[in-house]
Amino acid sequence: MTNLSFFAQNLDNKSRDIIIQNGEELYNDESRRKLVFEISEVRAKKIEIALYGPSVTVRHSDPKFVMEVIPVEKDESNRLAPIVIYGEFPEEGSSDWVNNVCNEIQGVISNQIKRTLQNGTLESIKKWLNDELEAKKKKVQFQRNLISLSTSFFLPLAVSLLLQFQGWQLTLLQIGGLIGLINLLVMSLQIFLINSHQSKFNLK
Amino acid sequence: MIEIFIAFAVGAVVSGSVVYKWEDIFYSLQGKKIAVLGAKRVGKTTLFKYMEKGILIEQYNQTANREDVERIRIKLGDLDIRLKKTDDLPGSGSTDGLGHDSIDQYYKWKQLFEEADLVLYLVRTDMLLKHDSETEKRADDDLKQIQIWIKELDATERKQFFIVGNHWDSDPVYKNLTPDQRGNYQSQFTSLPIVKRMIQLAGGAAKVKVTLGSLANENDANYLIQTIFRQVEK
Repeated sequence: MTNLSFFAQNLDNKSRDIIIQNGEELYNDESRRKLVFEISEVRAKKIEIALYGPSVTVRHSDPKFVMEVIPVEKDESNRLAPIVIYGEFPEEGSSDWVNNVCNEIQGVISNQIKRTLQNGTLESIKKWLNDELEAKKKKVQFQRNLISLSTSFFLPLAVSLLLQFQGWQLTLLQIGGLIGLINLLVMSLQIFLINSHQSKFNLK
Repeated sequence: MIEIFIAFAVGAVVSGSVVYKWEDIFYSLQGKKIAVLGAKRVGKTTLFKYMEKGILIEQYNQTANREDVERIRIKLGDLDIRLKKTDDLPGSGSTDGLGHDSIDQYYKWKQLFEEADLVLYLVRTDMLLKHDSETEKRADDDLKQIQIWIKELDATERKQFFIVGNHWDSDPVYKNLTPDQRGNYQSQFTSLPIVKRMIQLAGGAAKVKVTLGSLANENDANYLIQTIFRQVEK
């Protein structure tokens, strides 16, 4: 499920704007207005991702993104007529999702909006989406490592402080057993709490 | 950043019987937020780009989504006037095959309208003078909506409203006028029934200013901007 929305002004600048959500054209005024407002509220700074030729601009405020692609066709005033694409990165991203997004963009723009994307546009989008997913994976991995390191350091420290506060005198065997217990606890936390989220981004 | 130099005389600008002090204009405008609204293809983006970058763009796009207008800087004499960051929004004006009016942009327009100190509503001078029914309907519908927002706002809130007629250069009648005949041209425009109605919907002649001009070249663009800002009240 890609949950993409599309917005395009008509080329005659008179007919109703084309708004498509999840593959269906929206006709309800309230839904149209809400969607247009939602798109305009993605406030992130615009960046250009013209990696393979034609200009594609993106605003990305995780998880939402707004792209503008410029098809070949111009409006009656000879102006370029961008199409706005609005979507969200899923929690579980994969290359299949990226492919589905690109297929839907191609399908909706050619079959429903009846415009022609310039060569290289989809390739730029695909690369950007893959790069963003990769960046998200790295971010998650970094957070996971940080939590692992923090627990590995602070848990033994907390136990030591507790022992010191209680005034307990431990034998070497007891200290060894305690270290083993702490290690077991830290590893359990990492396996069952931290690593359980790893699958969401297909981390390998 | 290229600055827009507006040819204000140092000290005062005399226009008709009114004397405008540029210090007053400076303090009236400094730090204010401007909203430019209007139908599609009236020149909103051209006006913004000129105010932001000091250049008139030749090739441009339909404005399909909100565009940031980062910095508007206008130079008056030795003083720089900096306006607040604002948004360039898509124009209103489209209907389906059944004549159903599309008002997809009004939520965003309303938000900007509420935030703005100065509201410029752009219209096609040439089309209104030709009594183009679509242009008249669009303007009427937009101003009806704006009237609702004005009523919803706090009555004490001060917001300056301008009706800005663009594209007078596209009107063949205008092209044959000498500069001293422009006053009659403006009178003809403001006496149009649709313009009178727009003024009434936006709060009446005492609150609404009407300015005509063109963005066809830099001289015209400077003249238009100068004429608008000269009328801003303190």
